[in-house]
Amino acid sequence: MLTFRRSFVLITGLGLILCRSVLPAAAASQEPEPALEYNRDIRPMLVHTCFGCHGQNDASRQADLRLDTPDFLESHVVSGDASASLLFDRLVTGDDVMRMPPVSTRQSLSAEQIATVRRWIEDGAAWGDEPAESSTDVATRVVDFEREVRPLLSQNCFSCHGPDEQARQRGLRLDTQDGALADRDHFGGPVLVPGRAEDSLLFQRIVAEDNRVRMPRGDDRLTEDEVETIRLWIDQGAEWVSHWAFIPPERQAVPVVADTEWTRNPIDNFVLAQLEREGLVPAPETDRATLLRRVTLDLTGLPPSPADVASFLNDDAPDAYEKAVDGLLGSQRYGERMAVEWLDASRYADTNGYQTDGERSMWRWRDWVINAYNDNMPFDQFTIEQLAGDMLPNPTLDQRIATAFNRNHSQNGEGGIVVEEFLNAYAVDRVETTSTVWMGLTLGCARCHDHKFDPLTQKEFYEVLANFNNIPERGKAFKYVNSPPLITAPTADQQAELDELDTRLTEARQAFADLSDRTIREQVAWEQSLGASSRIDWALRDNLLARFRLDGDLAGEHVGDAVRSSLEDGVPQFVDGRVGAAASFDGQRFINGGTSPNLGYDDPFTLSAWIYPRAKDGVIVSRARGGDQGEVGWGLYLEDGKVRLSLSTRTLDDGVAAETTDDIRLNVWQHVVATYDGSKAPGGMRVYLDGESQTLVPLLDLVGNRLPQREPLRIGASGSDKPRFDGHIDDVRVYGAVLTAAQAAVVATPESISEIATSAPEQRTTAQADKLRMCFLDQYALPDILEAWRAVNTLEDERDALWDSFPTVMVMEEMAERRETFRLLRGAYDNPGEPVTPNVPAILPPLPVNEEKNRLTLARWLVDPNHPLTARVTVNRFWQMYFGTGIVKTAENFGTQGEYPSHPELLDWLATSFIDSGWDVKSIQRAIVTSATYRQASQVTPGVYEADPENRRLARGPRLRLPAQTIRDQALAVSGLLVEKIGGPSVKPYQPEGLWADMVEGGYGDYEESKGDGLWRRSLYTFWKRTLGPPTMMTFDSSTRETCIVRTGRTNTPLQALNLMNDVTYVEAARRVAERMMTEGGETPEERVAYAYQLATARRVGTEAQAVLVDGFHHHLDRYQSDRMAALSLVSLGEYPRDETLDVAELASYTMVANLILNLDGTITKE
Amino acid sequence: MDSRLEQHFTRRRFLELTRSGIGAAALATLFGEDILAQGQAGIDGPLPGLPHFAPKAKRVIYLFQSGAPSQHELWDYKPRLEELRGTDLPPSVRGNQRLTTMTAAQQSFPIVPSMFKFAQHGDSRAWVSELMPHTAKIADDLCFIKSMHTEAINHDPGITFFQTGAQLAGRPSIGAWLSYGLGSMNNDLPTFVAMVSMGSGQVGQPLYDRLWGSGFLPTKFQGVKFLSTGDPVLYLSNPSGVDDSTRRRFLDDLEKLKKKNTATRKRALGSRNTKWPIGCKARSPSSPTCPTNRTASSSCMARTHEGLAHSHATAFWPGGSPSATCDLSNFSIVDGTSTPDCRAESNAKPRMSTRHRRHSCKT
Repeated sequence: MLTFRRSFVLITGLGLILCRSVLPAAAASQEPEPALEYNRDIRPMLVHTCFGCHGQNDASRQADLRLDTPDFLESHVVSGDASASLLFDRLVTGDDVMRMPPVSTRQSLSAEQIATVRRWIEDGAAWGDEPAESSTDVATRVVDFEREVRPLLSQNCFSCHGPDEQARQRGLRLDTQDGALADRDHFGGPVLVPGRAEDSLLFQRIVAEDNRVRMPRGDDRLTEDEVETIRLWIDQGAEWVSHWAFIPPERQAVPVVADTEWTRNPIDNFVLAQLEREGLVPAPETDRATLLRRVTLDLTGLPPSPADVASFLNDDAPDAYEKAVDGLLGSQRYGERMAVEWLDASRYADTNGYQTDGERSMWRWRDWVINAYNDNMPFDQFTIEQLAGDMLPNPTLDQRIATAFNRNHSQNGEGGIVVEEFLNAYAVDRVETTSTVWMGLTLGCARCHDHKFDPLTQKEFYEVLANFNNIPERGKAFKYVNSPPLITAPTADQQAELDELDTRLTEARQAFADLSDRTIREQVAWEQSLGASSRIDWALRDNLLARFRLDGDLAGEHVGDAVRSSLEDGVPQFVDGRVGAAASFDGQRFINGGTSPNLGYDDPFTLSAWIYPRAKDGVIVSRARGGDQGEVGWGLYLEDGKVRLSLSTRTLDDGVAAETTDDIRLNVWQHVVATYDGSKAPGGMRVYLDGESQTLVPLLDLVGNRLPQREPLRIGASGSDKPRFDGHIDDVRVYGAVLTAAQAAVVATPESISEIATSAPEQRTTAQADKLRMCFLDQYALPDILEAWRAVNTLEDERDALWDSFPTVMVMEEMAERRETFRLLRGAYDNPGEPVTPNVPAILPPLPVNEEKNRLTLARWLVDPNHPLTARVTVNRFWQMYFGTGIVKTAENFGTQGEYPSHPELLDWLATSFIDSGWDVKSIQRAIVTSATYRQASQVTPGVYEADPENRRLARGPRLRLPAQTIRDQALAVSGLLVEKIGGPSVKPYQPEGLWADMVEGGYGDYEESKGDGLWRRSLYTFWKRTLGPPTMMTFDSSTRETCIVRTGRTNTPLQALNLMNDVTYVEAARRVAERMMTEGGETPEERVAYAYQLATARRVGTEAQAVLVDGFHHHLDRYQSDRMAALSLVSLGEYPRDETLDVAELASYTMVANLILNLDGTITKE
Repeated sequence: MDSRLEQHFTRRRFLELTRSGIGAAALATLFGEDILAQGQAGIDGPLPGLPHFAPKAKRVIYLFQSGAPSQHELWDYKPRLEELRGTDLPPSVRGNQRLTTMTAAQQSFPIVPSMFKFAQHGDSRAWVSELMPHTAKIADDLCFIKSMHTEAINHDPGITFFQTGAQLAGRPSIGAWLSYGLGSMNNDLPTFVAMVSMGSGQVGQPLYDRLWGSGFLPTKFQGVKFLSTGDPVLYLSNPSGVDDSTRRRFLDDLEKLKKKNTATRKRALGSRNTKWPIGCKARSPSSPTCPTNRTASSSCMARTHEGLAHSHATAFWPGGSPSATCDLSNFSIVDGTSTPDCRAESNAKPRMSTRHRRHSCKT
């Protein structure tokens, strides 16, 4: 409808045009430009910068202003007078807030464009012809390649036209710029013609109707929207950028925002800038009690006490919150809280996984992690020590313990596995874990073929694997306890104990050494006193477990007691031996020596005997029987002339054995000693013949199960049908320790003490001299020397025992000779392709040229400031901890199939700040929790929730159900049951009976709950069985620890409710809360209820809620007063003794109330 | 038709089931299906239209006897093994199969027949060994399938293959497939249940949750494991001293407390024109008025937005228009926290301002 104004404008405009056309000649010299028209000249300028908020899109319209219809001419334009026109004023005003386009969109009109607008207004602000239907207006949307186009291409095209060379069709790749800009010649021309979608082959293919031609193949057509996106992209220039995550982060300028009062630190600027761009406002700060509880739970995993809350509420200082945060960061609980996430990422568990899932001991590493966080170890050091601490110069014990990170994976000890297969599996796990945790890359997808979506080749996967494939580990792990390589890892206290013992040992040795002159003299005197007539002999008796002298008597000694032995399958016969008489064997008879002390795979021991073999095969001594797969037990054998020491459960694949390489001499007396150090490896075995160490060849190195112990000790035979001894045997001994070479030589010395003493000193062999000396010191020296000597020995034994009692931890070590790594064809362990050497993927910065390519170099490379991924991935996970979702939602995948960051500049700012701060972990936590963004209230209405369910816009504070560990820890803390002790071995809190028995291999036993403190430690310390994680943790979405997990879900199931209601953990906690209610919470039910509510939620209970709870209490009280037996059984649940001064009915009733409070949403949620 | 189904079958239900209303119904008649015959099964089925036919089986009971003697000792009579006793396993049988470490070190691989006698039973003349005398008596009621084969060489991959069809873990178990495909006749109990037990020998092969897992199917199709000791579902039973009525009261109270939550929020929503700050599209926020009647400790930041003169202004601050409620007061989860309730009823009109200022009233 033509208004006056409009018609005036029109007429004027027309008039001007007429003028111009009528007076062409007059304008010859200074050809006046035609009057500007809005639709032709101004509209195209404003389309991109203004129409997003002032266009035809109703949903995004601001201030009800449209610039695509003429209405605005009336309200915002004064024809002929630009400075009076609101439209123009908005373009040029100095007011940052009022100026259009808004500052936060980072768009603006150029000076020239503004001048054009001015001219148009002064020309009369002509509307002009109506624009053609589609064209300019519709292109209100600038397509973002990163966010919209690449994911489309990745999802729909990359599997055939991506980085995977083997899968690539027709040689076309669309994941690189070169590939996308290629000219396909006879296929139809260029893939992309920037600016002209219709001419681009890519576009033609995706809209083709012909099924044979259309891409992608099959039923997966692109949707209309997707096709439109591609079309817009090409029309807008087919911009291409490399995948954002492979470009190192830039130091970002902190954006300017309109609301400068809200922001507290740069994080807020980034968040607010995005909100302002979308026309949203942040939520106000939440109330102080809620805020304190939120940050306390987030930083320590425990709730604030009422005193903490009160003191915070009363603190008026402007930095009260910051002080509280600093206090929390300084608490030891912080390290425990941070460690939980890291343990999930590193797949820490207390068992090996796979079928047997036997126990292992890695808690020393957990200690290390907690300490590292509490000491605020910089993240780069944290990285290097865990990946390659053993390779640092002069690594400390702690640095070696740190490397346990990459031994946390499952290990298979099952009988029958193929060793190579699992050596490969372990190395693969290390690659996958390391790449997920530090780089957010799914490198594991390139194990069997090139990555389908990211530029990672299969060869590169194995090049990375080569870094982790050089440790001396067993493919078949030990079923129980740790597998090599491992180290003894005393705690600080234990080390102190050891040091003190060492000091005393040094003193004792010194004391003995001080006596050495006297000792020598007195020994000489003693030697001389021994006349040739006296026949004194002596045998080494330290750690002697059993001895059969066989001097005409079958009896044995068993640690001093006589052991009844018998001869079987024959009649005893004795002959002259090398030393006294000896027992004779004919290949039939043998001596049954009764039950001697048990020796298993973990026990160090020594066997020794004099033998006179007449045949090449024969059992010397054993505790074994025949099984369906050979010997079951331990024994010392002659096998085809070689001396063999063997411990086996199955001779083919379960045991440890070695034998000499040289043949034994027949028909000669010789002494044999065989030692085994309990290491379950043939390398721990020694054999000495006549005191000389023999070369051994390993026969079996596959210990798995335990060593059965049911057979008696037999001399000359085994319980199996192995050939029995033919010849003579004398002086069989079993020691419970490993004899040194010197000791072995002494035991092999047949000459008696008298004989040696009366021989000339210079003619004595070393062994003989040793024997003499040992005898003297053992029995004949004067008391003070004896004592000094015994003191040394006792202390040495003590030290060995102390050392053996120390925990071990599995670690990384490098083999001197590098194990060869191959690219495995199709990922199959038995199908090696070409060899590869350690390296990193080419898409990332290269390794430094002058450094050896190994695990240490890789670790350092990860934390190089130029690395595009590590810092981003890490800060993203910190963010995820607080807000529930990372800035990049797919925390485990920063590749092309992962999600684009919701706030890319913020992510980069955080990442670069992290690096610049020296990788200071606590300072990042502090920055996040002190930001205004974090402090926002978390309340939301359904409409808002629907618009942004995951709070990606960060326009409200985080409100999340607490993680599994925190829910339990909170209940323990609130009830006062929590036992706060940092570190140490894992403990076993309450668990329903019979769960393990249901699951595990027979013979392993059931779950044995800890007694006392172990029931109430923080959940971080709960014993973790991989195949059956603690039910409370699993129910609340904890990772199973079977593999590396950096992002868990949050589910909501009835099982959780059942757990919180009925698990004795929470019932006992409720009872203890009830006890606190009654003893600390005031006198009336109202007060007590309020007290408990405060304990659990840090807030004051509302009157209505209080009424409900009190009412409930009275109801329960009625019932329990008439059923005191029920009350008693309720309050007796749990191991913690109840307060017997409290009336059971009341206590039971308050227990139900507390039970309810612990079940509230507000309790298990971080508000 | 089952009257129970009839009761449930409102028009809304019909539309829900078919999802796309008329179209799907038309499609269904095209296929000759009777939508109604699907009954409840369609509800839990992942796709409308599954199963394609009325399921006949009401229950599937699958006994998986892990660790039994081999089939050569029980059902699969191989008389020729006797002839081949002691000879080496022929390459034609062994093929490319790899050996486990348990046997790889053997020098030879001699064949050993079963030491148990086989006989034929029933009219079907089925072969059953002497180890199963009772089962032999019902041989005619059993179906022996002797065409199964596997490539697995060890327990775990073998069991995994049995249950999921692949040696490598990750695929849905057979129970999950049945649950997915056949659905369930009710919504109240789990469709697929797994019960494990330890035999009298007290030595079992470990069985893992993935053997009744859902693989890539939605997790609601996984088997619910009923434990063999204690509560079948963990923590199902009330603790001793808590009887049903006590627990009922507990749940009722919990419900009351939850209703309080929702009611508080609903009150905020119930008012007309109430807009939460986040929902508003302000480009030039105007100044709020800071209420002077705040009490106690709370932080309140009232935010408003204004449009231009002729646009409707929705403002909410204490003392705002009657249609407004100060949402910011509803910080209470369970009502009544330290934040006071600002629900003033005055008629003050929203004010427009060109200056932006934000006040925060922290008390």
